[in-house]
Amino acid sequence: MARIENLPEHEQSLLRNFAVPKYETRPWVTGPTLKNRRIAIVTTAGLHTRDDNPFSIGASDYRIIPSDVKTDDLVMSHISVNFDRSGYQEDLNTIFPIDRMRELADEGRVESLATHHYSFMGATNPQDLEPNARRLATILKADCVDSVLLTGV
Amino acid sequence: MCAIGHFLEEEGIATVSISLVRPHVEVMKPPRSLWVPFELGRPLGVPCDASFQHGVLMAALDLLTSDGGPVLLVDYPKDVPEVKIDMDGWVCPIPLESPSTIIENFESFIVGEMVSLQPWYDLAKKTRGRTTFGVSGENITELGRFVSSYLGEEPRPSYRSDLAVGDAMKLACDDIKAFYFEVAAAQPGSRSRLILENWFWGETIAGKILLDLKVVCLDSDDLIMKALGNFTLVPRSQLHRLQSKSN
Repeated sequence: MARIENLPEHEQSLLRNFAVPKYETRPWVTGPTLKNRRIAIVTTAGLHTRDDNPFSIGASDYRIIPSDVKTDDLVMSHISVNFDRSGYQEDLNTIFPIDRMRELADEGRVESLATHHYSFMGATNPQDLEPNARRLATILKADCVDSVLLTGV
Repeated sequence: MCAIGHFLEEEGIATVSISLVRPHVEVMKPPRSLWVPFELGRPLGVPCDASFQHGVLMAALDLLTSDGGPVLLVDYPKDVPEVKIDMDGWVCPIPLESPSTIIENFESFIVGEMVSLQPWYDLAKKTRGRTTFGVSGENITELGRFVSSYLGEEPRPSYRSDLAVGDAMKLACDDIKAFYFEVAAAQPGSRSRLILENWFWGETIAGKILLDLKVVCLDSDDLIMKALGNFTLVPRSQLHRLQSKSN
């Protein structure tokens, strides 16, 4: 369970004391109904295709995941060893719900999926992610993406 | 993840996150978050349960069209279904050499162990139709030789010309753990992350070598190796094994 009170004391302490930034702005983008949205998945799970460069300590860049990627083509090089990987090993959708999103697109519950999805590696200072996250927004807009589903580990 | 949501939203793209650590969301206040009460590493909750995953996914996506901003944090009301797990532990049915008896010839023991487990890994890969092993690009026995060489007098150079030895070591350790955890998954029954970790770190030669490797990394002058030893080799749940070794 990730209910923080259910974690061992040392895990609780680390998570509670982890320095996370506070932001002064409160952006809020509205848009069309869900069935008219084009959606990309952006994960911080440290995923990438087998032939791509692995993440290293402090990495703030991202990896491109083609929308038609086969689940066996993705591997993980997240630097943290303190989260469960057995769920991901059993089913990629446990962290990166690509099959579920494809089903929603096929059923017309969302308009379409992005040409590419993206992965960062979450064990990085959040502020260091800002330049690449902002650059990624430009790329997403060029792909007519209006909405992003974020998943972490 | 909260930070990325904030930056993307500032750039004009609507975002929603499926979040596992509620206190971080409470501080960072990204635009839309669905907090889920699942184990770290499982934002969609249950592997191979499309119905459960759909429920989580739709609860998140529906926030994209909800009112209530500019900060919307919603708790997912369902926990994962209870799975019957033998909490007394799990004994791997594959006979392995006891790691406590091994004080030398690490390479030969770890390679032997890996060879004995290979059929179970192959079965797991065939059953699942995929494998998460392979991030290093090297085969499992070569990885065993590589990591065990660091417990001896002649540590091997990086097996990849594009990676420093510390980065190569990290990927080697990731792949070794992926191999062993997939082997364990080929055995019947359900088991928790802690039971799997206790098996790997407490009952396999590979686990013993990686524990010893942590000490080597901490003593290394190589900054990446030192960071590996400090943070990203042994999970916090298993650090007690090193403390008991030193006592």
